[in-house]
Amino acid sequence: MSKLPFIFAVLLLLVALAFAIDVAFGPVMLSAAELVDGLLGRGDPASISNVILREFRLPRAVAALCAGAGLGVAGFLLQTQFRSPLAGPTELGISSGAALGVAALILAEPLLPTALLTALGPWPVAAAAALGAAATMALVLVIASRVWDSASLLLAGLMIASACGAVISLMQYFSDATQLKAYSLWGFGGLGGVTWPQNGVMAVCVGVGSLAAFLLSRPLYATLLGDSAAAALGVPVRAFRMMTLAVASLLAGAITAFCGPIAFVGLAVPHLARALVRRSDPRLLQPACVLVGAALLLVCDMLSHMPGLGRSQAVLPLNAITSLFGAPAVLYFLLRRAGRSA
Amino acid sequence: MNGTFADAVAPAPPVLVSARGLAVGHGRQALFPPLDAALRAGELVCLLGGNGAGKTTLLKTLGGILPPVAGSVTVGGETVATLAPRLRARRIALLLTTSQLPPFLLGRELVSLGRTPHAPWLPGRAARSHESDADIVQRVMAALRCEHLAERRLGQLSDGERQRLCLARALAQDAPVLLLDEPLSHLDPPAKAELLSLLQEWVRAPFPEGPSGSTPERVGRTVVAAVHEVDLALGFADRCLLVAPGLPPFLGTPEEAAGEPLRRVFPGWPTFWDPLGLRRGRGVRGVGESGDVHRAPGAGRGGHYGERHPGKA
Repeated sequence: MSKLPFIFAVLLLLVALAFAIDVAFGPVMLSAAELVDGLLGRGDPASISNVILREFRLPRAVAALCAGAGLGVAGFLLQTQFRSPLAGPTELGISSGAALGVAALILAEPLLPTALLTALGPWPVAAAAALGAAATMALVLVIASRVWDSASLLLAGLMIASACGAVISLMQYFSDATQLKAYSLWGFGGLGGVTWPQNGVMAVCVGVGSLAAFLLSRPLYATLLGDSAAAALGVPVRAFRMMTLAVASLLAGAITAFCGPIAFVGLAVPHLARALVRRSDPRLLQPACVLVGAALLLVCDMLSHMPGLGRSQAVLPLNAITSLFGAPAVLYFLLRRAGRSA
Repeated sequence: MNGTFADAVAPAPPVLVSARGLAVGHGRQALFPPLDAALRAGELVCLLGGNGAGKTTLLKTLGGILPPVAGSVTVGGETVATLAPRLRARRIALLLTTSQLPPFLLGRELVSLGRTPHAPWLPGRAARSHESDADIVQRVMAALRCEHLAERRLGQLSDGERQRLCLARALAQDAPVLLLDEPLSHLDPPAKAELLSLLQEWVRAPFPEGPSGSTPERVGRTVVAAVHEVDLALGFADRCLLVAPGLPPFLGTPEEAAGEPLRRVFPGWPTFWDPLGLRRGRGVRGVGESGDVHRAPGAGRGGHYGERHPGKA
């Protein structure tokens, strides 16, 4: 128990360090003085270094912070609620719903007035993703009100996800090269395009969602024992499940809308957090998920623009990085745990 | 209590659990005819019946997590169906058989989950009660002799050890009514007897706890435990509740239950088998001195019991 403050302190430090490094490095190398000036708001606001920091690096790092934290909490909520280590926003069809919304928008783009789309900027994509995520979540919630056990609901989520995937494939088949590329770019996931206003919306959603999740900690803890046992411990199981799903979809929907479907983080973070904290109480694990998620996505974002460091705009797809570096990390902790319990 | 006179004039303990015309089942089909029962404080009731007889369904219905097909259950005068879930969980601790417990959970974490209905859901208000929660967890773990499992993960434990922790979890809920589904499963034979004797003590211990006089009624608890160990049940229970599909439930003392009612529920039950001599200790007679095994009238629907215990007959 005494180790916990130390673990949380290290995690906080890690997040701060990752944030600092993520802001400090990018395709354009900035000197330390330029960085400090830019962060403190000193110097010419129109100077290149200030613009880079204000318009690109900081929004990007803040987006990584919010998205990582939010996805970590969403994954934790879903894994605990479904008592499945395989549950995550992607598995429940939330991300697929968002993807379907975006695919539909991109396919319909030639039919919409160009002036309107230009005027709206990146918002239509976000709105389409949010609508898609909300629609699939509504469907999952309707099923949740009729299905008693969590396993069937998880299966229903997987079915919705694959149905969405199938519709997207059909849409892709009928779309041209430009549309395909536009959709693929969004599908890679990325934090680069997130603006300050979008960051604001995302931060509010992540803040509200995380707070709500924290307030649901007690009943969530009891849910670990299964639906019947939780009911016997005084948890109104169905109502509570609705609340958990609503919070998870708010988190995942808002993040997917702005950053695209970010794979793996929601699935991996709860496992990493549990391996670090070595406790199951959500009141400890959820804050750990927030920190681990934020640190993980910041590090992945940092790695994604490593190849272009100081040279070009080359940025690797974020999803490739999250899976490439996250999977071995989870495997390592799993094997270490297996080794300890053997 | 210092003599038989005090015992003789003492009023009967109050009824804690009352079932009126209670029909249980999944959906609209009742498993057996309605049950009318009044279980008093200080009573250990063993629920007996074959596999699929409806013991778990009855416990879930008594515990309020399954709606009754008909009739009602009251606990301490309050109708269970209309109680708020958390309030209900403070009155009734229901331990069901669980096949899947999270393997990463620590023993102490599992037991402390029993405090869920008592702990505030919003953090911050827990400061005062938190310490006493930890005390209660410690106390029940000591009573069940599973303190050494506190820091072990459930995935590393044997079934019997997990069962002890689950029981500790139910006791930690500290409710006046305790409903246990197969609490003896996975325990070794001495531990089974030990647990039943612990439950005997538990039901008779003054409850609610606290300084004497702080509460007007310190009457003890009621435990209903569904068990398969008929001999132990007859030896330890204050009353036995016998259920079988399609047959009216029977509630009576072990002496009353041991004869015809038991043979109706378990048509193939060997009536002479008493390896621990438990029934002799209580002066129980009537469990088929003749050793005959016959099917009760109307056992056609429940007749499969005989086929399930062919080797013992």
